[in-house]
Amino acid sequence: MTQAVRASAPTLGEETRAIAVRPWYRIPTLVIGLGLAVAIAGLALLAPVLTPYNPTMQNLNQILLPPSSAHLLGTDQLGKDVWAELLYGARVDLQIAFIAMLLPLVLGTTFGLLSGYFGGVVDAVVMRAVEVIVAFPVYVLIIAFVFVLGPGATSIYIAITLVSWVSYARISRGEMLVAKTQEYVLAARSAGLSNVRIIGRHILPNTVTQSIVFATSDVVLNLLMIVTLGYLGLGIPPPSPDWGRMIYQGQSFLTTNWQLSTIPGVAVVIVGLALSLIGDGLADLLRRE
Amino acid sequence: MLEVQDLTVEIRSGRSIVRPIEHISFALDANETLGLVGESGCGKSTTLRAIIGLLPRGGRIVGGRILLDGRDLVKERRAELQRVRGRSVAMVFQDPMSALNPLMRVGEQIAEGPRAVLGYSRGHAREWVADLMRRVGIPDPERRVNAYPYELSGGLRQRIMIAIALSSKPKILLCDEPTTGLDVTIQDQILKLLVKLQDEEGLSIIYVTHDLAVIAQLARRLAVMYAGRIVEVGSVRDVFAAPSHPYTLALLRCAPRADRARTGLTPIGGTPPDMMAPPSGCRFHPRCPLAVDECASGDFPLVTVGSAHATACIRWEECAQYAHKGLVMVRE
Repeated sequence: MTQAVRASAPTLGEETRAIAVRPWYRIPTLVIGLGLAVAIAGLALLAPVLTPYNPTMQNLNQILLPPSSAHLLGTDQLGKDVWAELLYGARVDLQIAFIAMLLPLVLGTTFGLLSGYFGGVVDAVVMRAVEVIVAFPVYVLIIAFVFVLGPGATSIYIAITLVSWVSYARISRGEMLVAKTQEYVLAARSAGLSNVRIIGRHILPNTVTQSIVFATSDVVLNLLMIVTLGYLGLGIPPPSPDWGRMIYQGQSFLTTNWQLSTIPGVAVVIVGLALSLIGDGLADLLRRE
Repeated sequence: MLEVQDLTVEIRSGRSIVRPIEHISFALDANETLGLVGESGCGKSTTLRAIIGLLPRGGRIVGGRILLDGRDLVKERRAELQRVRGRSVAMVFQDPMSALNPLMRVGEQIAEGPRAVLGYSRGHAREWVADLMRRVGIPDPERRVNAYPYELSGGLRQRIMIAIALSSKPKILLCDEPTTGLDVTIQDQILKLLVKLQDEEGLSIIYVTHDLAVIAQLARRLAVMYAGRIVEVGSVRDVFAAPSHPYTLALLRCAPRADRARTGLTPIGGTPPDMMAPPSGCRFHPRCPLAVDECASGDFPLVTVGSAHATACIRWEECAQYAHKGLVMVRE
């Protein structure tokens, strides 16, 4: 007995092998992106500390002031402090943009994985639904939904969820079609594991990377959507500050006070840049070997 | 305990229909190792996948029976088949790197079957995993339990695969060339491990390979497959001593042997048949040096040539003579 064990005990070439995996802090895009995102989130969260002004408070004695030490970015046509509006607006817009990414991520990934795994009728139904939504331009569809549902955060969540789950569904379905043919899935099935377990524990972790990478750019798309809706008057209703409405209202003063529209625009660009960098970095980090 | 009777599998893709295996019959006794030998693409792996009920896409069993303890698996529902997998029949795959989930710690992968299939508690499963890892000869299991597959060597990975296959206490182990990707010393260790495990656990094993040396080491009985059919079955001793099918003989001739170092190796002429349009009659006849006109048409069922030794060749006597004299077969 002991002999047999010894005879089969590993010897040559069976040592454990270590592979150097690049840690997240060695990926420049990820570090810069995360740095920017943390800074932006910090600014939004610390808004009450960073500005003494209330973003909704009007002061008609001090309208359209240029930037100064009292008003860092000046004031708008109603005498509201632009810096305060920007910070408090970030709180509202970024929060909605982020939350509006979560539900489509979960729903779309689920539908996509099921569709790819089971094929047949499930696949046909899900993919027809996807095609119906893809057939319309994204903006037109969301604006139409929000228009029907009325302005406000809830409408934005519903509209974005109805439209953007399809991206995740398509990504996950494609990943599933590849993963399904992998031998580890066959091995899991041959071990008598249930479909739910195979999809959830084996395939999901191996396929979710693409969806997560896309989610970071999806937040940017959501932010653009929210700002666009705000610009069109379909966004977050006043008085809560909103970058889209800031751009719209500043438009009338473009020749004299160009910064009113430009500043929130630049803010959108910076957020977009931060999240795109994170997305790129994540793709690098999570890339399969 | 496992009996495959007249099994035929069909795979449809688009308009084409292929029959990767046709009218296959064999039996596997308790605590026995059966070798299944043949070239790539002869239907060995398909046979295993049919037994476990996981044929590739478009594949289905169109005839025959697979009897497991008297129960016909071909007729069972999908849910029933899932119950059979793991706890009655388990499989060891050729390439453990691709058959292991790259993102899951190996300990979790071993524990998964017992937790899901046998309903073990977390603590019980943890002990069982350590026990299994020790039994398949993984040194330092407490540390390796938390390793990812890529952190382990090929031999260790294959041991993990075997531990996973054994985790739900199956009675039958299907091995699909589990040592092909390993170097010879590790291969030898894995084979010895399988023999040891078979003794300890009373497993029955079907071992698929193209390597006759492995069969000689591991199995008592073998079945030789060619182009989706079994052409010869018998005990390893009988078949090696008196190969009664020209294909078996040819396979033996192209396997290196220490005692025949001087005669050199004889490759098999021609190429394996295109399964989309297999040859009529005996499927080996286009490549067979003993082929006569009769071989080109008709059916060639297995005929008994000795105790528990059968062949599909009508010229098996000549074939056995050739083998006996050690003549090199030349196509006439």
